[in-house]
Amino acid sequence: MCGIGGLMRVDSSWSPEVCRDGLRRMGKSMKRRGPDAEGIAMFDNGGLLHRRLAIMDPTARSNQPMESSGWILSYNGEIYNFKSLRSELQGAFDFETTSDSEVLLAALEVWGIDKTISRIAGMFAFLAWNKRERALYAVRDHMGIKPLVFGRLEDGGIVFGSSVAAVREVDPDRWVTHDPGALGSFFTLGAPFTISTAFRGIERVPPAHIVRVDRDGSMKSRRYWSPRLRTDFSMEELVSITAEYGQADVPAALFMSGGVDSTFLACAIPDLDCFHLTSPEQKYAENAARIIDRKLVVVEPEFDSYRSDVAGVLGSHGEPLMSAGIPAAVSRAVSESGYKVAISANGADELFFGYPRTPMPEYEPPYLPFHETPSARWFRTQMAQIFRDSRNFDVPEISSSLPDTIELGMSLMLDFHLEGFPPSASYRWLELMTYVLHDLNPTLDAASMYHSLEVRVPFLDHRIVEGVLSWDASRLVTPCDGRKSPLKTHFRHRISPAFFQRPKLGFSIHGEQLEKISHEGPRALDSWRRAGRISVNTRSKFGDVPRDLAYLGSSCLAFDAWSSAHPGTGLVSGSGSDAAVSQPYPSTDAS
Amino acid sequence: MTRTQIIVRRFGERLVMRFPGLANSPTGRRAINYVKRHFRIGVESVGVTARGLDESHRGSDRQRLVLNLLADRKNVLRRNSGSRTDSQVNEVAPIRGGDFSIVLCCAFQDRHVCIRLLAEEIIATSDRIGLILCGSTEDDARLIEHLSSKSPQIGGVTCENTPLGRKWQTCVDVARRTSHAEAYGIIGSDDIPSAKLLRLIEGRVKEPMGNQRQAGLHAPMEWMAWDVGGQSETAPGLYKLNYCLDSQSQPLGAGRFYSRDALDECDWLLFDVKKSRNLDDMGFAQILHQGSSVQFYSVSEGPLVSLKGDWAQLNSLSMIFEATTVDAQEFSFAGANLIRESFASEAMQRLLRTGRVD
Repeated sequence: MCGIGGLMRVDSSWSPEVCRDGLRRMGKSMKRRGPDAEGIAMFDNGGLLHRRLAIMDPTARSNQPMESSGWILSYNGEIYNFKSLRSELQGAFDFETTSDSEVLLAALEVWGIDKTISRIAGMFAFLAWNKRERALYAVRDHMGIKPLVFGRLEDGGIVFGSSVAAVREVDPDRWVTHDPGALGSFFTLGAPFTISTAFRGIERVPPAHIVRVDRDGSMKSRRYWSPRLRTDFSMEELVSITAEYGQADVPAALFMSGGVDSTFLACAIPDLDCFHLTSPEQKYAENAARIIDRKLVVVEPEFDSYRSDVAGVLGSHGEPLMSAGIPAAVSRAVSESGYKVAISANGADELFFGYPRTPMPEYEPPYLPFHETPSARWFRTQMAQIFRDSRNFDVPEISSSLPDTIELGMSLMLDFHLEGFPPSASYRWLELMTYVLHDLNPTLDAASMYHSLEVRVPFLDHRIVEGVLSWDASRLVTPCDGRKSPLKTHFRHRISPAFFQRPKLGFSIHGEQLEKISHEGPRALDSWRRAGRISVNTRSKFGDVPRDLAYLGSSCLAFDAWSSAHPGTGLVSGSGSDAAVSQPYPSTDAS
Repeated sequence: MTRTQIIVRRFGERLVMRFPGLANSPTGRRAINYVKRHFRIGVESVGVTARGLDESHRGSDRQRLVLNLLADRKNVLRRNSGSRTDSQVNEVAPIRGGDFSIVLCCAFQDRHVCIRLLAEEIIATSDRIGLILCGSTEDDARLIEHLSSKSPQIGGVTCENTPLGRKWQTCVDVARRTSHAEAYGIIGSDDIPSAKLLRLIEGRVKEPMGNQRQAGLHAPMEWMAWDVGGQSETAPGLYKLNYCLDSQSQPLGAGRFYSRDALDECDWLLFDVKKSRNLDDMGFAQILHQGSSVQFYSVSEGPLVSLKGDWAQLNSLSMIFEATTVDAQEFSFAGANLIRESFASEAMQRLLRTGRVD
């Protein structure tokens, strides 16, 4: 897990030294993403940067960028099936390290870009210069776990980076205008969910996309993956894929809440320490760890630096994120406990019907365990719990850029329909492609990397995602087990499912700790209201207004922290949003 | 009827319609037997007929439905005697364009956005489909004139709005008098049939399946509801609806397509001219009495969308959700894609993108 950057010029007046300086500035901005090493490799009209957080083969021989006869690679992430790929490539490539990075380089060398992408599984974003084609490839993982953004330079050159803040370092005067579309979407979801980032001109590489940049600066992008129906996907395969996530040459821990998902992960991944933040569920975590025979580290998180944490995370990330504070505090606690890798159950709730908000049109269980809430009946209910209704508040400066709730709903229906899958799959895919992709993933990445901690998310492995999406709702929610039935069934022989027949709490902060920080959001909202920066009304009956106001307060707080770290020319009023950069969702076949 | 029984029945319908010679599996036999108990089966369609009632139906829902409707029809015919021409009809614009495969009849008042969408969908679908509109106000007349000037497929009249039964029957009578088509459709003023449904029915009207006689009634058993009201409590979202319990044999009232033969047999009398509610019963009773076969349609074969918006409604979506005789299912993702694939007009595609009629 690292920070990457790439610069490619099209103007011959631009010297390699200028390019190298730009890359160095990017590296400095991403030092916390990769504190262990920095490397720069130049190619004929540009260069690649790598800041390394050493996890696999943590020796200098695995530093990046890595180079072969045909490719130069700068890669961020983990490829979990690298051992099996390595054995396939063994005869065709002389390996010098035991890292997954070199396996990726070898795959590019032997198989080329398309076959490599079709074979690798994990979380990644990488930049690869093809010496023969003289083209730069930028690739982002299937589920958008790792970030990758890019911007055009004034001369037509292009810059890629792991964070908006790093890209801006190359030419700080160029990207100063805030994108109202992105900021409008931030207030309704808690994180920007447009193609454009918060800075106009810097865009995201969409998940599961390959971008090719030719020497003349022309770009083509294409989607390389969409979920495929896997009627043969089995629980054994799920467990086997999950087990790959324990591979690390440095200390690793599992976020252990004591709930179903983390207990499943503790059973499926051997030899992991478990990490628990003090909570009402501590006794469950202790019990599960004892039965599975894992070391449990219990830590009380520290929130004295809550505000400075939020400011630091958003400053280094470069975009506003509503919920960065708690993950930042948790990541700091894990990192200070000596771990470099943590495993999280993020994505399990969205994939396995953990939330009652996700409708199951094809199935209604005849009864459920007493603590379970029946699933929502309508899409509207689900949408109201993910998004805040823009009819209920107004931020005057970006009024016209706040997403229209009805229009948003229609585009979600059209964009995230999974043809051929069980009907409920589309509702789960929507969760993964909105809340998880745009809020959960960037928040977790920004907060954890700020503390130089790699967080792995096995339930967002694309093989697991398409496999579980292929399962009918009746397999995932059963009358006896309730929600997440397959996970409970897996550890039934070790821990009684009755142990989990209790209301869901999740990996969160409780009691006094929460009390300490819970006033921050409302205080920020009050301050915004008094200053006339936001007005609140309750025109529509969409969603839960008190809950939405709490989220709005957190958004105001995060917005202030972000804009202090990134002072620009301020918000652009009116409808100045450029349609090309404010498109709400990535097109499926961008070109 | 349980959900399983409904599935078995629907499976049986498909099975006997499409693979009459192959339905020898235990499941197939079970399905066919179930259907036979309730419906008269023909290979070309699923038939519903009073003649099919026998001793086994004594006391059943099905018997009650058929006999009640037949009794009702006798009353209706008695009440209707000599009253069909009472309405003062103002010709606004004649339908032009010669022979049609289908002519749709639509009585309306206001809801102009829906009528415009309906007209655009028909024009985009085929020039062999006509539309007879029956409005009541001066604004309605202006809309009919405007739409008729855009296409010879569209014509219409105005008459009094109440009783609604007489207005609808007037629309049918005008269609009979001014057009010639193989089949005539009844379309609600906020219902939009898809090009896919219209083309499917158009094809079956021209060429009945196999060597069997044409179905007397083509009727959706499922339809979609779409809330396009800006401030409503059910938007955004798409819903699939069908009648259930006592009403489960009843096709959708608006969205029925009667063959010319079936209409001739009942002298084109489809509505009780003294009633303003429960107008759907009589047309169906006519078909039951004739023993005509009925071709049922699901939304996947061709959707018909009922638009709910910020206009006066007899049955809002919220009320429909509360009704015990209507089964409503969440259908947003599949429904949106079905609309994208099934509707021909740019107006409907635009509506799909924005979710708003304004």
